[in-house]
Amino acid sequence: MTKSNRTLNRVILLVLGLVAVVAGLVIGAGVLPAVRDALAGYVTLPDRVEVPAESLWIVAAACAVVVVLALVWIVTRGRGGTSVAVRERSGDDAVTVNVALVRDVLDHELRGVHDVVGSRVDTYLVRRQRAARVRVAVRRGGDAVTVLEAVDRALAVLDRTLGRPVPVLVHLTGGTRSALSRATRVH
Amino acid sequence: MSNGSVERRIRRRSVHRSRSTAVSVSLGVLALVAAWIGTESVLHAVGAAPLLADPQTVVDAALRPDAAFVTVAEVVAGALVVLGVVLVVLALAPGRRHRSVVEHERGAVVIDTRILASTAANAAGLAAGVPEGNTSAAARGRRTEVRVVPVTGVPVDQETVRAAVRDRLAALDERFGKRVTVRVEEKGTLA
Repeated sequence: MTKSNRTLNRVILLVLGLVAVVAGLVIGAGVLPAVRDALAGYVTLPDRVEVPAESLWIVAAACAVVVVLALVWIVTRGRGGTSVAVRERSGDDAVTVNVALVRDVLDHELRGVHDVVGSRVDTYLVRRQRAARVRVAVRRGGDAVTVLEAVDRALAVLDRTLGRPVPVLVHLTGGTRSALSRATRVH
Repeated sequence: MSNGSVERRIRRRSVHRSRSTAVSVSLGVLALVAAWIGTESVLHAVGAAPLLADPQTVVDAALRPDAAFVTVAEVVAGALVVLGVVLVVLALAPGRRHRSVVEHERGAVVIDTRILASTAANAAGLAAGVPEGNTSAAARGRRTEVRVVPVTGVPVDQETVRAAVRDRLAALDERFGKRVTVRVEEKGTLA
């Protein structure tokens, strides 16, 4: 749901993985004759590399760039959560609806539904649109069909309340609360 | 059926696992290593004493370690290769979570596999007329296996149970109802 770029994540992992494998093989070729023999057909590794004094500053600068980029990536991951579910602008004025309202509406509508243990709502900015994620915890041994029907009704009420349909992700899940809840004995 | 690029996107992102944690951890390690190499380079360039080893020693130890460092080099090499393979697998594997996408007219819907199985068990228990604890189900992909332990003296019709489970799952999505297997245990329990 967050903004993190998943393709780029995969690319970073692939590059780092390949670098690690190559570094491991180079070091391994120095100690293990078997690795050296296996690699002998493809590359010849030098026995010794002189580190020229002039290159040290370049190495240091490159390392600094790597450190900064890595830290920036780590710090900026997972953005996109917001507490504003709807924002309606008219001229200079804007009306915002907080996620708490969505939460309350859905909680109220889902209360008393047989197989629902609880629900959690959070909203995200996805492609500059506001979308809500509704996670509904289903009782152990519960029936997803009736829960989904109840969620549909709740969403219809929500649409009426907000005045327009908001993109939603409905996630029917188990979770600890439903694992601890008692199975009903009478249908 | 579905319903806007935003909903398709969040649904897809919900079904596949994010690699953000793995990326953050490996980038953190990379940052530490880079910081160390950079520091050693600068210290050597200004002629100060190294923290652990100056760059030339490190390069020598990596390419042809002397006797003292052979074990260290072996361990480092092994760890790097294993780590690298793990990262490559993480990068290329599909990384699906145990969730299924359900076609639905309002909103994007994903359901945990566990909940699908619980739905199937629920339908089977109702159709067979046994207590809830007597049925269990496992769902994997689009295949669902239901196990029913009958109550002694009350016969359970396998076909009826199968039809009930199929209808219930098809109410969610036609694709789930197609491959349902029902096993009725030989031994029953007391009610």
